Amino acid sequence: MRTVLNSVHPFTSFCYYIGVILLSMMFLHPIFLIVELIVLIMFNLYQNNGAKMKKMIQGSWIFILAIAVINPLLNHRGSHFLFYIGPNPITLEAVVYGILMALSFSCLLIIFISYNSVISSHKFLYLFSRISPQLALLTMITMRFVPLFIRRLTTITAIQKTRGIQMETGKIKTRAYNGMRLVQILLVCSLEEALQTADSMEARGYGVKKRTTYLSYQLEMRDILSLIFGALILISCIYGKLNGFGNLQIYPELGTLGLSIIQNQVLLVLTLLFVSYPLILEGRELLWWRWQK
Amino acid sequence: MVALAEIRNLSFTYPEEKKEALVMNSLVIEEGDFLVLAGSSGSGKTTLLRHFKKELWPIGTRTGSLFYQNENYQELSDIRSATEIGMVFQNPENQIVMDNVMGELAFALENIGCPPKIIEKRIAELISFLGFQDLLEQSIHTLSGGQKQLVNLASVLILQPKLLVLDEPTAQLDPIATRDFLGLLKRIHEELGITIIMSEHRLDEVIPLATKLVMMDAGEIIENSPPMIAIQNLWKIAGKQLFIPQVPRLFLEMGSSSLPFSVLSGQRALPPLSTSENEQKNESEKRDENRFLVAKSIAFQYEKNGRFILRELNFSIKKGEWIGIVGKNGTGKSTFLMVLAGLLNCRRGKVTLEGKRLDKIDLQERYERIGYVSQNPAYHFAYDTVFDEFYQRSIQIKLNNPELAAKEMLMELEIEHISARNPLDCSGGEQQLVSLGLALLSNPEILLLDEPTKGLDPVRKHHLGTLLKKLKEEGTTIVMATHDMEFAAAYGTRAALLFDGKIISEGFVQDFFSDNFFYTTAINRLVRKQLPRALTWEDVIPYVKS
Repeated sequence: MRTVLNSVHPFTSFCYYIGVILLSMMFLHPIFLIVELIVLIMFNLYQNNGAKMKKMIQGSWIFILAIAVINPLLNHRGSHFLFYIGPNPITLEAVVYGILMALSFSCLLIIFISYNSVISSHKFLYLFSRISPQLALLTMITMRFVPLFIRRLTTITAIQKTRGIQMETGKIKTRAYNGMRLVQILLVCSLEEALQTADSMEARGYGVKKRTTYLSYQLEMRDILSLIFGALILISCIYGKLNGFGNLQIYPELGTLGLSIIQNQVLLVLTLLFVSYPLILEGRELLWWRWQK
Repeated sequence: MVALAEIRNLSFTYPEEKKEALVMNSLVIEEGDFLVLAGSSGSGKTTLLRHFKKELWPIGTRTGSLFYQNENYQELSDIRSATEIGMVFQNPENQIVMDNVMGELAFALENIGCPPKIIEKRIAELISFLGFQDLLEQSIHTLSGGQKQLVNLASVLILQPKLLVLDEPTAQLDPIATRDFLGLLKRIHEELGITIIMSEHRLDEVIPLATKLVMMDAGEIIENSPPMIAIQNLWKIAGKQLFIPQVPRLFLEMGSSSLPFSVLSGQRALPPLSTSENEQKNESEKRDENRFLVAKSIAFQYEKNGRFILRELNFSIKKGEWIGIVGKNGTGKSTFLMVLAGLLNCRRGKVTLEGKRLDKIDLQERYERIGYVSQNPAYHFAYDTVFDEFYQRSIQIKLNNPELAAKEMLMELEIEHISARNPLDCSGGEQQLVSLGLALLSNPEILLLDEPTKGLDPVRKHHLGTLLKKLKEEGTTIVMATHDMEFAAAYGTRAALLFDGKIISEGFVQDFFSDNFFYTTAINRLVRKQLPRALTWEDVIPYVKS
């Protein structure tokens, strides 16, 4: 679904994702991470990414579990011993650290789901074609030709079956040999066809002048405001982090959540604000339509 | 009239070839011309067209001079050549660089360094002129071949060219897409005054648009005059009659003095024909008898939850029949043939060959009995020379004397001269024949041909038709998917229309085509009021009152 975040300038939305990634890796604190996770899940649901998230969980829950479990198995630092596996002590500190890492990792996964539906290949190109137009063109061509090659290989595999070059029956050696031949045919045909592509590019003046790019987005007032506020929040958070706030002390001994400290409270609110940026945009839109009536 | 481009005393030879590929005294392209270039494959049409576009000049020895607006081609600046002369090629797929339409349209303008504002304006303008707003955001691989070719044309038009060079742009399109494409060309020519040079095998549709017809033979121009005169001259040259479109051909055969090009003007000029009473109906159909290849309610989709390309399709063919399957691009003709060949497994239903399920027949045996030729002949090749292709296939099917078999096949197809050539270096028509030869080596009982006439010139098409007819008379069953109504009508015994994954009409060619209004031959559309069952000019001639 198209959210307001899709319509802001690509630079703004790209910065948002960079910021969220930074925050979720910076503050290894259960409350911070859980708040981030909840907000991100909410936004993803709003983006209609429910099915994708489900798929992602099915695909990587083992991985997340492994992160949480492996740390206490390998790391025996800490002072609260829970139990022993053989001669190895399992400490409360290591367990908490493992869980925090798993939470942080889950946040990253969910951020990327949302990222994929907001930053399209076009926006990505727009952001990076300034740096190198040639690289951008190369990316575009690859995006077109890789799926084309795959479709072509499927067709070639089917057609070559009619003349006995196939990988379904026969000795493993012949099959492997046939497989190589199929790839060779694909490459030869593709090169042949690439010559035509090159002709068509040259005919349309490729390399005549320095390339420009047609993608254009307007940096609006709301983008500028968002960028300024976002930058301020992020800088404050980094400042707080450098001064030792927003962290849960784990080693050598598990500390308290420390939410009574005013600095931590401020940091938590700032993080919440930053992560909720797309939801805030959405709310603003909603209110505007409500008032219109 | 002002000369836009001019060729003087040009001769051109490809490296390592003895004979010149092009020899011509003079060819003048005047501003506002719509020049149609005809000639058999290998006559130098593409070589000539490439000479109008500096960037694409073939490598070789060249003498003589070429001018664009009285300026020597060599002195033309890159940017001027890129923007003022546009070129569209045959294959719709290979010309596209970007993965979506918008990017493709912007590509050329980005190359010449246009600022985004101007690009936006030009695209907006062009889209309104061409009227394809709905295509703009689409990704390229969702487009049909015809739409891709329209995008190719648009991406050249956006540079606002003065001269448009097209190399057989409609060779790979279905008749409806061809008409769309030519309709657009006509508008460009008439409304924008762009000069057009276009090579084409099937002159039927383009000749009414042309202001000049140029005929080439072995690198030389043998005819260069307005179409009306050119056609009358071609009529007198032996071996070139095949190039004459169906409608004027009929009138020339009748010895008529008027020479109409379109169906409408043909109908007006048509003399009354003697409609004889003894027009017998074909023998009544007996189905279920010795059905050879049967497809029973098959359904096919490429991916789970994907669209069904074929749905509840029923089809059967008797031994020794030749059936042509017609229909628009993207209705599943190619998929259907691949399912019939057992190359794709149908999702539901079954395909049987003489009562035996295809997937139960051993792979080796299956493709000795079934010959399949795809519309992309290059995908059939696996070796370095044409001879090797045949030789290796003969070994693979365990023929006694593979070398002899390969030689005989080269002779049968009359392509001995390319025996030592790499199959990919052959012309499109020759490639088509080589891939057909590969299928024929095992003497298949049934041939499945996907667009066998694609890219063939009229002479080769005639040759292919005769060859296949001979095979059919020897008992080979033929199923072909084709866009070429004339070919299906002239050679086939039956025809079927595939639409939306189903065969919705099927019958003997006369019944089938006379029943259709659009999907029929030009001759049928011309004479249907008097002779509803006539499909080719040969069918009409007996009824002409001398």
